[in-house]
Amino acid sequence: MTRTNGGSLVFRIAPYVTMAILAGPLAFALMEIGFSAFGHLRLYHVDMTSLDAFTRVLSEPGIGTSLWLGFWIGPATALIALTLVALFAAAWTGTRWFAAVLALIKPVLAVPHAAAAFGLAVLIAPSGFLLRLVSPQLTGFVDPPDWLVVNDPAGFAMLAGLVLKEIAFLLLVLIAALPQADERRARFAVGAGYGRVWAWLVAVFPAVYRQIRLPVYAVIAFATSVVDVAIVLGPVTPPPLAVRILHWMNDPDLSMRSLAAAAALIQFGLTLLALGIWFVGEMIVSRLGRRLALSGRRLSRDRALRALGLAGIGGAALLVLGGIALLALSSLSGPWRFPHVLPQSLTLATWMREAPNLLKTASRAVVIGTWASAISLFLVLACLENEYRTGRGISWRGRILLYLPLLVPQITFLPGLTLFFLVAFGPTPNLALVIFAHLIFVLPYTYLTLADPWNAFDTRYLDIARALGKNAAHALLTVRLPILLRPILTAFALGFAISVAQYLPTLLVGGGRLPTITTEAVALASGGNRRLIGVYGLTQTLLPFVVFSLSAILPTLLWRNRRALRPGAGW
Amino acid sequence: MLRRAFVALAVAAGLAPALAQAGNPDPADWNAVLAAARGETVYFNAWGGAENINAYIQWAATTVKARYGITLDHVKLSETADAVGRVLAEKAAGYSEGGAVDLIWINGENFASMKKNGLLLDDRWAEKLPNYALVDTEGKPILTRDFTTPVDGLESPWGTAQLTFYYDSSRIAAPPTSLDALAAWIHAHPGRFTYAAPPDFIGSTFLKQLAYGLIDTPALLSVPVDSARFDQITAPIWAWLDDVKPDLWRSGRVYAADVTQLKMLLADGETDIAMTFNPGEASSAIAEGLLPGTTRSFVLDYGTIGNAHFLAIPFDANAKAGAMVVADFLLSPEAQARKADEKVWGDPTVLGYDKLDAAGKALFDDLEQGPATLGPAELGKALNEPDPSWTTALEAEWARRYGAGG
Repeated sequence: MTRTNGGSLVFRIAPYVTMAILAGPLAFALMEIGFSAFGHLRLYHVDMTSLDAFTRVLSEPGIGTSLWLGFWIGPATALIALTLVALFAAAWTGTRWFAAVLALIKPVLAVPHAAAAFGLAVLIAPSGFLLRLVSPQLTGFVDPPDWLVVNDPAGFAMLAGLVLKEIAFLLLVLIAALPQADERRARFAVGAGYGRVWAWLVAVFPAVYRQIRLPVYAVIAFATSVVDVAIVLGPVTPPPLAVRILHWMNDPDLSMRSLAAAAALIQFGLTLLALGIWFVGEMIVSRLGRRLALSGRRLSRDRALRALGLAGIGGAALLVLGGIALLALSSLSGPWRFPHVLPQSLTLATWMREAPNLLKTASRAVVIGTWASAISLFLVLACLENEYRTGRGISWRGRILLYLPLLVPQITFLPGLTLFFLVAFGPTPNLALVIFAHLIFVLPYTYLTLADPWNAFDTRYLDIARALGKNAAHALLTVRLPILLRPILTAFALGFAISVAQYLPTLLVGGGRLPTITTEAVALASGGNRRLIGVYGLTQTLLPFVVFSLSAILPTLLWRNRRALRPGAGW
Repeated sequence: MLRRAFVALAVAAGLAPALAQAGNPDPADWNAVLAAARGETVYFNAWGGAENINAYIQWAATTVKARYGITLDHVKLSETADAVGRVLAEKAAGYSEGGAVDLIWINGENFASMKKNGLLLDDRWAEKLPNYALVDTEGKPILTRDFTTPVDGLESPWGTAQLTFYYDSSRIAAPPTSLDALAAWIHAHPGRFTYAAPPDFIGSTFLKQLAYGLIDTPALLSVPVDSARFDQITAPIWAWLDDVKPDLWRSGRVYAADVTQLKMLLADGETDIAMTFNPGEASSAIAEGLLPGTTRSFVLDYGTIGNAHFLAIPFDANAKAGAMVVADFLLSPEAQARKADEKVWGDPTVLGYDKLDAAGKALFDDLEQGPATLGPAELGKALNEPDPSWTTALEAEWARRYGAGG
């Protein structure tokens, strides 16, 4: 009995701890941004009247294009990625192709955005690998052609890079949600003569989408304000707003930081606008979909759609992994001039020279990632259990708070956060603060990936356990957690991957003194040295990849004799 | 711990007390500095984008550890301004000691900004370093005026730079050495030339280089911009750029990001001419196997912009004594000669050859120069950096004209 009481205290406190972790720093940071944007740059002693900064941002040359780029790429990324993922899941769940492509796409999730973007650039640039493959034999090019492929002004290369990565994220959360949706309904529809794709879209997708809705929103918010992918693949003259904010933040003219703050608030508005448009789109699609579903059309000839789904997902995985393979090759390359397909010589020199630093920075990333992800997981599980026990879901306000770190662009509130830590903990950075900062970004994703599978869990299992005389803690530990092991481990692995990929929080809160593999990789990328980018990008990719592999293997190993706990069971 | 809590409370309450400044180490008493430095960890904030430079700093770290018992930790930055922002934030939070940044590799606008905001250790510490006596302050005025801002002993000289162009002599027989010839070459070879987008430093430097060659009265560049006449004065610069733009790489719709991308574009065969601030860059790249052995350098006939880079210590640095010892070591003939070695880095020294003793001179006599490095005579006249206000004004106008699409 005491154990139960002690346990429930933990569960009761957890939501407050979680809120405090998110609310404290965020509130302070947002306040700081507000002050800065409206001219009260307490930080930097610059005087401006209240709306000056906004006026100056809006009169910057090319600002219209920057705003547009900071808006349209978000919904477009989500739309393309979600469409391909849905088509693929609809057409191929339970098949051998599904398992094969899934095995390819899992590693893609582990690839940090910057590394994926760089790999894509190395593939598709005019001096890149694909053109080298056919030059000069087919093309006649002895020198690379002057084609604007990467950094195109409209942002298509950037869109492509984002779609490749987000496909992996959305597919993974979709699969995590799948066991909770009743897939048998699609089978009935197929039995009734419906095409496989249409049957799944009508009968299963709505239930699945309800669960993965927030991850989709996170994709939109992320893609509107992403910086690293935009730097590698995005337009340059002018760049998307988020990149310009970074430039202004780094400007040695301190009054520009006020511009950065105002622009950050504008970016926040753009992100909200993008989400609003998506929300309206959701309603339209749902209404149209319902009408179509009721029309009785069966769309039994869906071969083209099936092929598109498979080609889209498989192609994305191959592009990202091909890019990473090229990074690996770059890390070993000697001279490698156009149109040589392969480097003229190979050398381990860069790996040898960087080995000590790789070890130091990679192990620090592992420590930070493990702590941040483990703490997040513990808090989220405790919150979810508390919601179940009290019968009260997370409040609307709590939900907004939880998702704010995903909706407010990082470069908007990190300078404020850094100041908050300085004031509260002194100027000497330490590892615990960096872990804490990572926690702010990892927590929402952990909740995001876990809440829906958790809430969709059939609690009658727990009722049965209780009926058999087990207490709530026992039911949690022996029934719910084991059944949900796969989404739990996925959430952990995702949290780890997100922590490893954090650049700005590590740099700013750590004062640069606690470099991880990621801060090193980005710093080195600024020099454009492909060998170094290859070495660090590859190591950076490897860390989350290992953790993801473990998260995938563990449930299969543990539950190899429990058919109903395996994904796609029954198909 | 208690004091920190107190500071936090006080700052949160808006009091922001100026803490009593601890006694700074005095480089005039060098032995005391050496003693204080032993055991300290110096966080050296320096751009981390070049393998060879990182390796050089690593060598310095190993050496100061063995000789002075100092741990030198290279904090690799992608932007120097990141470190400037960090120090600013520390100052804003009311701290005046225990800061995260001990030593910064810096020059130009970042230095001017830190100086103006009182973020640097003063007392002319740099001029009191033992090895400062060897610095060629008479022969190289850029060492005492950093982009025209007086250095005032707030930063210690580390290296010098001069804008240099390089190309593959097996592709171009005679490189264009005047702006007219360059424009004609660009028109004759569409898509084979570009520069970095300002405000990247090499891009801004190219603009200033154009200014020296094109405006009617170059003397105006050494005084602050007259904004009323800016359009009229700079019209020839924009006319030159407008004229070449359609024939630039990617038709001028994209520019290079920085000095390293300019080098990579040349190595990948996307362009035929690149530029750098490091006169030894092309030779280093040949030695590295990145560029063909036929690579050569050239400068423009009216001289090219030269400047210097420095090391500074923030006012609130945690390891001031250690930072001074490191700065002094990096100024030693041994460290400077190694830095000037093209097989290591190839960055020209700040020391005066005549001020060195025989052993010091021998270190520099032993250096070999690669085939792509210009001798002092070929390198020609170094033009002074214009007043900092020109940098800002030219960058803003460039952004308006070419950075906004169309």
